[in-house]
Amino acid sequence: MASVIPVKDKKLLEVKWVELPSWILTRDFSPSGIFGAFRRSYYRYYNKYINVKKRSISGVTMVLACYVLFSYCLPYKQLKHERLCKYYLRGHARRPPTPRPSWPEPLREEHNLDRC
Amino acid sequence: MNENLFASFAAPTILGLPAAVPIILFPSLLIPTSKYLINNRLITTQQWLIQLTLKQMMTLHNTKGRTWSLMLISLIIFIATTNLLGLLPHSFTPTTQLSMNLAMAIPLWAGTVATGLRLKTKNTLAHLLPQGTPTPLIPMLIIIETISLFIQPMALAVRLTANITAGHLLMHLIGAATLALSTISLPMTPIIFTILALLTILEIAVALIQAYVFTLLVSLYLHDNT
Repeated sequence: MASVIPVKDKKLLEVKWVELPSWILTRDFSPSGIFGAFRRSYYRYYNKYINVKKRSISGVTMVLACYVLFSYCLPYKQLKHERLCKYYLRGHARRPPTPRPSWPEPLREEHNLDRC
Repeated sequence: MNENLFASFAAPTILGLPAAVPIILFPSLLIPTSKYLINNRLITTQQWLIQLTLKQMMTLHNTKGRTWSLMLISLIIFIATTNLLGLLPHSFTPTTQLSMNLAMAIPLWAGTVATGLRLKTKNTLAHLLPQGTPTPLIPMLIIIETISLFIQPMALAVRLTANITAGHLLMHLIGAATLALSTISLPMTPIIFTILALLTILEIAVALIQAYVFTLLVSLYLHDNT
């Protein structure tokens, strides 16, 4: 399938699915290429939301909100144990596993919705 | 509240890789530079604040001391933005790590001492003995003054770490107490919540003040030595 514009020059949203692997291969993945990608994305955001005449605080607050979400995702494995639940299972907190006795375990209650 | 209260101060990792470096570099995204004389509001506000701080801080220095202006102003901006960003929920504050504060304090203090030894050697060594001390006390006093000189970077680093860490810990504890009290006795919750709000205001002030104190002390050490 011949394209009028070469694949290399197309933006990502204009690339067809068939051409996607070849588009990815034409991108520049050297350190300066990656740095250039960061710089371009920074200036795209900056010129759209911050460097305008009727600027509002939403330009900065969007960045801060994304930062909060990002820092929530980082320690998610530890934070997931601290959610508020209706019922807590034994051993929900972060503790090293204690050696269990050899007799059979008692039956646990099944509360699927509120399990932590 | 987690059983280990200090777990929130652990260094963050993304899939096992340390994520501290991108987080330390993040405040630089919030302070854009510009090549124009007249800029948008964000840059104008930031430039005005920087000029205010610069004038307030660098007037007491002589020419030699003013060569340090770039260093000191970037220091205060970095510490202030990092501390303020650390007040957002769940964010990691690099200045709570003693390693980072030592890494900031020791080279700066050593730089001021080295400058003093190089430019005014006699004066710097003479500072080790206060004027008018009785003769028998001289050896002891020199030792004490040397120790107090070497304690300066430690005090700088530990002061910043302890203040920010203590504030964050207090907020964690009172926040957890508010949550717990909301189930136990609802009338008490607004009182504790007011305490939390006041504490947050205090933390904002502490964040700025600590930055100022750190930089001011470095500039004082510089002033003694130039």
